[in-house]
Amino acid sequence: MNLKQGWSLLKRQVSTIRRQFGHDWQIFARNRLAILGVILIVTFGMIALVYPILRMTVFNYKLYDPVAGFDVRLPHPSKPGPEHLLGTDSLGHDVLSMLLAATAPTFIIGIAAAVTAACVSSVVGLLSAYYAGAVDAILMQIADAFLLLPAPLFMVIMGMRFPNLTSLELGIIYGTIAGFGGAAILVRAQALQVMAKPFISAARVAGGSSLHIIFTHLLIHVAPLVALQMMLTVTGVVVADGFIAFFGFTRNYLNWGAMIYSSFVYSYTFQTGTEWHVLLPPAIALSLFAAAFYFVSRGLQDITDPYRKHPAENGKNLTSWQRI
Amino acid sequence: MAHYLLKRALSSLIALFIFVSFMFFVTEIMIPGDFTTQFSEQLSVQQRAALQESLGLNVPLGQRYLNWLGNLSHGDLGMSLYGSAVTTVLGNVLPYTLLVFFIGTLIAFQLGQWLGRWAAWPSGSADRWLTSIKRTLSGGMSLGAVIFYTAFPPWLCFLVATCLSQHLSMVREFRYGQRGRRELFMGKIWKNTALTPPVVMVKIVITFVVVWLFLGWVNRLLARKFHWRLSVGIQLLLFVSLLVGSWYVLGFGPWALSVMESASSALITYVLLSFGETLLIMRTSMADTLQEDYITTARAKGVAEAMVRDGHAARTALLPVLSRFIVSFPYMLTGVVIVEDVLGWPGVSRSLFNSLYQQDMPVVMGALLLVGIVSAVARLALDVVYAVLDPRIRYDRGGLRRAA
Amino acid sequence: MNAEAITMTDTALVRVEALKKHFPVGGGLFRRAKSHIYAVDDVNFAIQKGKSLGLVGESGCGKTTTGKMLARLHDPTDGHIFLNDMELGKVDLAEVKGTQLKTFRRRVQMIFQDPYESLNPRRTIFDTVVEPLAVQGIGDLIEREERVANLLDLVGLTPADTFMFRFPHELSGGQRQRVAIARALIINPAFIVADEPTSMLDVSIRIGVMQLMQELADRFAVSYLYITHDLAVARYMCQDIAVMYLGKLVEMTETEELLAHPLHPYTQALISAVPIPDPRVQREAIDIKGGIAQPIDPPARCRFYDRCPRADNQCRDNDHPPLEDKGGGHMVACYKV
Repeated sequence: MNLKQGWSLLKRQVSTIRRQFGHDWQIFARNRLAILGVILIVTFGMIALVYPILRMTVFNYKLYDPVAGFDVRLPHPSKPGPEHLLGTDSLGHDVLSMLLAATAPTFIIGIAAAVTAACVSSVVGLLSAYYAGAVDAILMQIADAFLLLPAPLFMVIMGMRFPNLTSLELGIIYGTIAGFGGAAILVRAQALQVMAKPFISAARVAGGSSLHIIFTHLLIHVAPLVALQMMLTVTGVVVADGFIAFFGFTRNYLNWGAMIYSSFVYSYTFQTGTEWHVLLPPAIALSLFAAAFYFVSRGLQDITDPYRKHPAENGKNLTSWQRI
Repeated sequence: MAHYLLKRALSSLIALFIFVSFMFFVTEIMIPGDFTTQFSEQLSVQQRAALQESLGLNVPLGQRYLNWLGNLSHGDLGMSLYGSAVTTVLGNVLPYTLLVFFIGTLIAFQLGQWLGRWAAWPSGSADRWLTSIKRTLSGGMSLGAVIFYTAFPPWLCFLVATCLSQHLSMVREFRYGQRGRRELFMGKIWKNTALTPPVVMVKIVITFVVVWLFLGWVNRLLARKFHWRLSVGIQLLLFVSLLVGSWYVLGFGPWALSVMESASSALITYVLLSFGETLLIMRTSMADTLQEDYITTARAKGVAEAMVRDGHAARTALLPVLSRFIVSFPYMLTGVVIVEDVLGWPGVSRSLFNSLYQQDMPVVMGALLLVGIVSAVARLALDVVYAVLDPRIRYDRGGLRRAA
Repeated sequence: MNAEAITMTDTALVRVEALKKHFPVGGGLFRRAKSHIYAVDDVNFAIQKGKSLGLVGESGCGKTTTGKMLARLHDPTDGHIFLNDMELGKVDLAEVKGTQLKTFRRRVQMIFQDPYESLNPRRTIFDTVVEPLAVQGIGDLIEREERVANLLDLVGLTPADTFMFRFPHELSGGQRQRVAIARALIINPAFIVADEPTSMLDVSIRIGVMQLMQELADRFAVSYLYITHDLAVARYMCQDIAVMYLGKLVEMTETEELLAHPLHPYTQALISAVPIPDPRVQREAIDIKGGIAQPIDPPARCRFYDRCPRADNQCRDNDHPPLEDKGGGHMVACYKV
């Protein structure tokens, strides 16, 4: 009996939270680019998931393996054709296969960086805002120092010295830098605004502990901002990952930057001229991947932005073309 | 305000110190072996130990750190392991980076905020066609900004270089794969002159900033006295003629043009990479500012439309753009480094990567310190601009972070 | 003075003694502040059980700071706040800490001024109202839900079921303030600090909220410290009124006595500023000079000296006058009365 009552209460709570998210979603969905970003991310995600299956079942290992494949029937590099939809590069690798195979590692590095950045920035930003005083001063001084550090450059140095770093590890390194620097400062600024609100005082009068206030009041307020920072982190880390590969520090996984790099190197060494069909796909894929997460971040920006909170009050005059 | 800026300067010094210490230990710890490791096959154990001692590599890490800090405190960055002073090595390349970074950032910022301002402002025309053309244009502009902003930088470098070399024959060829100095400044005018490219570059940066500030000042004066501003086209014309004129007046005109020609591909690429974000944020920020009551009030008072846009709305809308800039600095600096490296522009990045290969730690540390200093100085400059734009800071000691 | 020094016959629910709050101005992490704002300076009053005290004054006079110290949102610089509680005995709220403080949070609650800001916009009404129970660990989920539903009914948000899972932005200002009242009452406090709870509401719904607060005070045997700048509101809500000026109490007595016979020149000026809805009544207007200042390191003279129409050398040369009984429990702090 009691259990049943409790269950119904829980169900109602869940449906309310869904309603809250529904409200956020409405704001988000008004931004057409954000929707495009979601669609792109879903597409890339499906590619990352489906490719390993295709590789094991449909694709002929000898022709299409991104590393070992070689088509003896054609001169390489070959232009796009029915056998190789995007052609092959100077070493005879199928471009489409490489393109698809590079999706999953890119996702891993992106997600690793985003999650790390989210954790680091919320912990640092919230502690700093909540405890203020000396804790704040020290943490923000460190954050300022991190802001001086060009994260992608640091990644290139790391990649140069440790060619064996996996995409997961690189993602965590990047996430820590990005999270401690810019993201933590922004989270702190927003958390400070929330800290000044009377509902925090009310929670304190109720007897709420610092953990209670941080988790139930501050965190839900900075959550959209943290999500936004996660998206920007993905954009940044994917480009940084491309840099590492592009500078020729080849690593133990395939990525788009490496494809661009090798296309340049081959056209230089074999004097073949620019192989546009090899160069374009990875460049476009890399930009699209980075852009997809950036688009989503623009949608999240609308949610975090207090001005755009109430469409009926504030944004009614803004047409959709103005909110890209 | 002076108090606030002093505080910011002190804080950035501390940040710089933390950054440098962190980088010192990271680079020292993560690099296997030391400078002598690469010669281990040619040298005997004794020879190697002697070399290590002569280079000061045999003392413990902590001691080395303290020595390095001690030298740093009186401006000595130590000796490159190849024998020349680090300050000389970097002094020769720093102007190259400063030229691209400062001029590029200013151009990108100005371009981004002009375009963003324009894109967010409603056409104000009753004509349907004009309105829809404007919409399409500004929508396309935002899309373009996103494309450039998220483009993979080396790829953009390649495109710019390809276009320039095919259509303008300014850049002879795209030199990726050839790690080495680009043959720059070999033209006739560089013979028989006391001017060296780095000196000219420093002069260019200084004149650029001075002319920029001067025009800004003129604009403010006009706005205050006559409620009128120069239009963008006139500003551009004035700026270019003043700048080039000042080069000739100061007597380094032809050399400056030669430098600018060589730097053009790096500058263009860097500007393309950096202006997008400013445009996008300026645009949303402007669109939000348009909703404010004081804009309606200004219009109701009969203030000219251009004045409402540039004097009232843009001033406020700029604040978020500037806060975003702070966070973006490291990424923009990275952009410079990548562009330099890919296009063979012999700036700090070249020294950094080459020294990393050779494990010439004093130069690596010096280059990283420079990156940090450039970043810190740029941030301080930004703080000043912010304080000028935002009267709240003059009273509120809380500072930029709160506003950000 | 300590707890033992007060006689056991003291029936006051809350007794505030020599309460002070000084905020440092300037100064930083490593620097000591040069000056202080004397936001609350040596304030004494008592609230009897079941009665309410109105704290009246201009904005910036320290009334909200006083209220926040009573709710322990600010730590007092000095002084005592005694809470005489049936279950827990007499304690000095100014000194309790940690778990003991958490326990005493059950007895003292607060209602805030701005109903738009005092409810977390990202949490449901149920979450907000149940919060005190949840953090204090009272009852299980089912009991809590019943208590919340009952209380929402009582504060006029009926049917409770439809309100419970709404978000603050789906409610009107008056409804939100009712939610805030419910949150304050849910753990049966003995004492509530109400910080201008109706000043942000539309005039048309103010009276409803005030009536509700009165009803609930009787029903739950709660006392209010009712902070307001509006004498009419204080008159409606409170048995006693204390007038505050620049961190000091200048006059305190029963409501009707204060309104009928104000003795302190500041109180007189306040009352003369209230319009009388009868055009035939003639009343002497009492003007005071200037505006309210910030009490930064105030000089040793009457705080009202600069603006007082009756001030003379005595007021200038002596410290701020003490709050004295001028007959019949009418406390005034003025040399000229």
